[in-house]
Amino acid sequence: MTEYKDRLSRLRGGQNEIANHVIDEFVAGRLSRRELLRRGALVGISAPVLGGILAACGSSSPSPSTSKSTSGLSNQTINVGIITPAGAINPITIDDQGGLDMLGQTGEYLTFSDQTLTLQPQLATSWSSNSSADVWTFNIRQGVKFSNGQPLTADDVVYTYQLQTNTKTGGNALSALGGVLEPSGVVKTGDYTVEFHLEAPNGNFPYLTSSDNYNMIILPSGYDPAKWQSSFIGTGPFVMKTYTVNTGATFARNDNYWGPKAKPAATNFTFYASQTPGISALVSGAIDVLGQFTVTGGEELLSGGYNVIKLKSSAHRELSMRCDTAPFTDPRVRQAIALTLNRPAIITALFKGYADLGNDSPFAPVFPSTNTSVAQRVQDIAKAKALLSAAGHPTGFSTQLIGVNLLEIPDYAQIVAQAAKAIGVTINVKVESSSVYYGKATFGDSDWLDATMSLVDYGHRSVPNVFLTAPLQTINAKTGSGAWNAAHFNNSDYDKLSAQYIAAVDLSTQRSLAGQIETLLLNETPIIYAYFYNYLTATASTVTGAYPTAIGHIFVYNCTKS
Amino acid sequence: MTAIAPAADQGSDDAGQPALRVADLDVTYRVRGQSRLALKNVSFEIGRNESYGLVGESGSGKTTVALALTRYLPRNGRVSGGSIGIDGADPMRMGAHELRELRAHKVSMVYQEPGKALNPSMRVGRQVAEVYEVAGLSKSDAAERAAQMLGKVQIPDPKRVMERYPHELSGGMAQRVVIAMAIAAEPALLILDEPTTALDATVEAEVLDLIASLRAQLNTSVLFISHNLAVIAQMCDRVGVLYAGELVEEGPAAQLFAEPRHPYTVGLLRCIPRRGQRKDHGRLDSIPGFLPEPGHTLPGCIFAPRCPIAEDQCRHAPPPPFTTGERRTSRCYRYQHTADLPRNTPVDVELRAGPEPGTDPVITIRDLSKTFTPTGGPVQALRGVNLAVQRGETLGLVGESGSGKTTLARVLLGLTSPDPGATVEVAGQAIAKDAAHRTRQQLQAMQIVFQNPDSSLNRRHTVRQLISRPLTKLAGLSGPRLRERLMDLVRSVRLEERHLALRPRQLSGGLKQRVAIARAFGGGPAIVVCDEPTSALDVSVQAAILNLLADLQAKEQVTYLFISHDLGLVRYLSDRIVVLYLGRVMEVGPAERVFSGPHHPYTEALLSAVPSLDGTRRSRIRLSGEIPSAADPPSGCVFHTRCPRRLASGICESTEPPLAEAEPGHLISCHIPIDQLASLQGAEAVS
Amino acid sequence: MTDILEAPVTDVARAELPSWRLVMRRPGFIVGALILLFWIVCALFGSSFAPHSAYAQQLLATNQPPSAAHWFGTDQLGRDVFSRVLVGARSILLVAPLATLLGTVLGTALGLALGYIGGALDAIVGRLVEAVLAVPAVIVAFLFIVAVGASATTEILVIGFIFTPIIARTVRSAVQVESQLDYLAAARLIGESRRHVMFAEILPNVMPTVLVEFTVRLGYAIFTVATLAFLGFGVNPSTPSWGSDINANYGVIAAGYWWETLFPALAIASLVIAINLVADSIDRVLAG
Repeated sequence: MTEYKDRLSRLRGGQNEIANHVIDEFVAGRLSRRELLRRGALVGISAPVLGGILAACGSSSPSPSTSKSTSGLSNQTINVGIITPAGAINPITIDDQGGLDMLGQTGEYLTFSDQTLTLQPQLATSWSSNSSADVWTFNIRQGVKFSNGQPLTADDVVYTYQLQTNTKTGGNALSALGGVLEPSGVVKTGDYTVEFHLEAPNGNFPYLTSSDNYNMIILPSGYDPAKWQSSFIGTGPFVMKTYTVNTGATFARNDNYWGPKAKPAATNFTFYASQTPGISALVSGAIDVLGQFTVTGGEELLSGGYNVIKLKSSAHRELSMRCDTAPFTDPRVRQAIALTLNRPAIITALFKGYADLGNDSPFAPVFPSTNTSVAQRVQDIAKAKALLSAAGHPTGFSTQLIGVNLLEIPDYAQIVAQAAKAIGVTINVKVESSSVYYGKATFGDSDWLDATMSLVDYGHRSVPNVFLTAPLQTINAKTGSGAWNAAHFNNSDYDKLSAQYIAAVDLSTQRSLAGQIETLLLNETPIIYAYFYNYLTATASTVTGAYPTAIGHIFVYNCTKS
Repeated sequence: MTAIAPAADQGSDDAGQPALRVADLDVTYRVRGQSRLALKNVSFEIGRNESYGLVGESGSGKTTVALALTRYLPRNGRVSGGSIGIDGADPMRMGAHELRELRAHKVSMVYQEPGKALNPSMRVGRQVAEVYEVAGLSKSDAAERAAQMLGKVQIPDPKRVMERYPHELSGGMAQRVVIAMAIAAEPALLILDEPTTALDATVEAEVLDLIASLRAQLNTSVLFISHNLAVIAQMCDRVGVLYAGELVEEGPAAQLFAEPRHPYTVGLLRCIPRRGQRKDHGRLDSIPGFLPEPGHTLPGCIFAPRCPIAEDQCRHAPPPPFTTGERRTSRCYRYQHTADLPRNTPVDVELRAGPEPGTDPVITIRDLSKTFTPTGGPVQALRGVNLAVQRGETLGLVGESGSGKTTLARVLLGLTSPDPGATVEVAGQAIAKDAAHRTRQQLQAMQIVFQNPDSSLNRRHTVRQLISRPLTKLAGLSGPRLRERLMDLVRSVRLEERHLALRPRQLSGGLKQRVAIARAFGGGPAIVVCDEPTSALDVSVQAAILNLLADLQAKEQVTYLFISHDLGLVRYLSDRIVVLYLGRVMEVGPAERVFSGPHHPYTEALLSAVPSLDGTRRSRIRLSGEIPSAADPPSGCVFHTRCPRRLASGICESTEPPLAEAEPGHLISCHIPIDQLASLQGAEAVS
Repeated sequence: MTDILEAPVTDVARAELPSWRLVMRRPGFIVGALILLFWIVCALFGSSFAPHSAYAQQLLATNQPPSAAHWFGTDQLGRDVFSRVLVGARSILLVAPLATLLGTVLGTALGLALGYIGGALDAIVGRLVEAVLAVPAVIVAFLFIVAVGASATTEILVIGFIFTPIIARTVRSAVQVESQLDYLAAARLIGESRRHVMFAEILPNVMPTVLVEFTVRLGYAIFTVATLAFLGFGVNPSTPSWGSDINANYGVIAAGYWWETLFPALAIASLVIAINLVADSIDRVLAG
């Protein structure tokens, strides 16, 4: 026992206060082994230290699934099918899966969020925060070269982060970093050290430097991101050979890569406008790896004969009800609608079970901070009717639901409409193409943000921060908060709780705040979160080593085919 | 009653096997599930080198005979009885291969429309040469023989014609090519089905001459099918008369036409105007009633319902073919009485004298020209026409197709506007050029009876609508007065009240034309243009229509502008004649003067092209070649390129002769003085 | 003067059967009409005799293959495909005939004007028509509907307008054939107005063409409506509609759920074939 304590205290010696808190939580049994790894990485405890802690406590050492073996280099070309990038491959503007897939092939992040949502060092070798978690220090890896031969230094990191956090640039990463980090907060403190001075304490900040915040690949200092598509400049295991808009891209192994070299000699990406041709391509053998597919339309791949990689994710659909528009001004009406849904049946019908139940808050089961003690909402027609009567709509009402035409969303919309019939509510479903639906993505000019009921897709995030802010916080044109608040939800309690949650550093605090938020949202129900679906990737049965992330990357540097 | 001897039994020819033997042929069509006998018990034979004519009106079964012989009957038709022997072989018993051989070597057919017999996408030369290639000749030999054959059918410059496509040939030329192809295989039997019906009289005459001369050269038997009795009379050795699918009379052509032994043949012949007959004396007779419905069977003689001398016997048992003379038969019990067949219409009727002399002309046309401007360049359809027509007069307009007859009529009516400078006056008043701008009175003054009632009557309207409309629009009638006038009109064209509810397709051709005539007379016109009013009709119907027109004219004192290519009709009906050629007036004069001559060489050619029933031919002058294009008319006298009497001096080529008065009221546009014309045409001038 | 003009009575009575009776005798017409009638009945009363509700979802019994309970199986939301096919006739049989009728009325009027008045109008409008015809109808409809937004009225108007020049062109040719006939000259000679000539003289004669064109276009209209629905311009995604049902379900054919696509597709095919059979029969009888 003393030996155990000695070893622990020796390990603790190098760690700051926050890191020690994580270790305490684990020792106290409040964190699982997996959660220790995740939280530990987040606060900057290095892998060897974490291994030591686990060993000290009698647990085996972690084996990161991203382990890059140096053996097994091949001359193979791996053919990958992904969804067509929506626009130019520009690290500033990318906001789609095809685009981020492309960024990830040659670009690298300070940290990497792996399939277990555990942070791994990538271009940062280590990171730590001050005790209030508002200043984070990152040590930059040495000996890394960009594909143009230029060495990586702190200047490149500063350039990248100042560029991405500049509101004038208007980058997509602002959706995560806005209000968190300003360009002036990015400070070079050494050739290979960068400090981030945050606007507010943020315990999850390292996730914002990770592959989750997919725009944040490190660019060479001074490089014009608009030109990125011509060079795909980066530090990653591949270099770009060709890129043809709307068609595909080819990459070759980067022989100067700082880490273990990629196993395939080359990769060949083909773009598909939808998943159906992608699935056909995989079935016919034209591609080895299909970056992502959904249960809807992908039933064939689930019936055997393919390696299917399932990742629990926080990807979900938000069914917003306009809290400022009758009849949804009354939270009882919103609750009533939510109560009509038979969520397990929906998951069965739409996802063949490859999804987790949603409890009308963005806290997905995959998040460690999710408070699972809050009771799951279940279908209750009688209660729904009672609530509707109490709200003054005993015979129901009629309204319109506008959804984007994507994957299972039209089906989900019809299920919602059919379910609402049970309490006399008629929902006319209208499904629009994404360009019509999103419109200009600003209030007053977007069916997404203006519809009485709006059904939209949200992709996976490793932390719920974005889900908690943009769609739920009170709309404020000046600060830009609540930019995606399609429900027009306006609740100061929520605003406070969500800010506190984001600032919270330690897990128990986060859990406790999460519980309050979950309860508040169940009562208010501005948005129905019915499910969080699994992220599915398929490869041919002969292919091993494909590594997707739930945010949408597909990494094939470890791929081999037999 | 003489011995009964079917024709088929007696016809053993000297040359052994006849070219064609048809015995007791029955052909049945299945129409909507019902069998209809189209030919019944038809027997005839054609000897070697013999020319046999089949005449009959539409629906008599002429073409069915031709189709049955070559086994080209439509799918719903079949030979249901009897036998056919072509050169001893029966096509009914032939397999596909033998049938091909038969069609390739023994029988050839020439149809009415040459355009339909030629492949439009193949050069003429290839098509003719193919006949020889099928027979086994090499390509170059075949082409050589094709050129020879085209020369044989009197095509000038055959090599050039061979390079052309069928649509580049005129109708006469195309028919020659078809004939060349038909005789190329030197068939034992040549079937000509109305081969000249679609051609102009002058071209018809040439083609008939050609056929006659070919027949003399080749040892070919001919089956000549036509509705035109005169053509048959001219072309054939023997004739069979078909009526409603039965061969009612047969015999040598000259005898049969001179002394017909069947009431139907007698009736037919009486329907045709002969020289010297005119509307006011020697009136045409007509055959009452209609052809029996196809497939309708009568217990007795098929002609009995229309026969004025039918007796009880005729109505109870079908007459067998009676031998009525040497090689003559007639299916008539009363063939001995046919000469005394009573007329259906009286020979002479009181018609008021035609034109009223000395009065102002009802139409005056001055300096009328019409130039069409299609994409190919201007085409002069009419050039400097001046005419005056008296009230109650019938002015005949004759000329080949393309001479401008119809254009002249359309300009008068305001359907086509003339070139500037022309004047059209009706009763001394100039009238608008376009019918759309004419007043009601002006429209009322002039009406037309078109050639084809199927085209001129709106097939969706009832007879009542068709006849009432001009009464409302032009005569301004309504209510009981409309009805009264309608019934008047209906009676005067000899329609019946029950016809009023019918639509055109429920009427026979003759009845339709009566409706068209009633409509033309509805507004009380002063002038009625008759544009080939009977050319779409059968002979027996034609006579009735002509008589009707004559009666109406006498009653209403209307002026007729009578257009026809049939000079016999024009002569029968007209008071004066205008002869047009390439849009120019060649000759104007009183009908008898124009016909009897001396006349313009073109008129002379037209007249000599008319086949006559008695088989005697007038000395022929033949026009060489086709009518020149109006887009590029010849210099000088436009007729000089075809004129057989062209002057050696060259004046015809250089100077256009004036339309000069040769005799009082008789104008001729020719450089040859009238007395010289008279001596040139001497023989005719007296007839 | 006994110029007997007795028309044989039988000739008048039996000469022509009324053409609709001839049409009725054609087996193609009978088959086509029966199928058409079936779908019309479905469009009108389908929901009352369909074995299940076309809307009812069984989320736990999705993608069920055809069985005794569900003859055509169930779709991805567990709805009865058979019932949806029956009820789905309504959306197409409302829009397509009305659109075709609109196109036929406008096209006939335009075609009469072009064919009879002709001249510069014909030349100008003729070129416009060619231009419209150069673009596939579905694409034109697609563009309009994207611009204006989908609704039954829009679809009727758009398809109707697209058909107008096509029908006008056919009618124009028929009118030009009629224009060669002398009855129009006869009408001019009694001073008939253009309007009378076009509508009282020519129109009845080109009605057979118009009728055939209507039936042929109806087939195309059904195809177009189905295509638009397939392209996602259906009115409401849960409303049973063959085209949008195919669109919603064709993605799962590969997974083996063929019945969800096959039966709506067969329904479209049967309706188009039925109309073509009817059109063809009418055409043949009118052509003689």
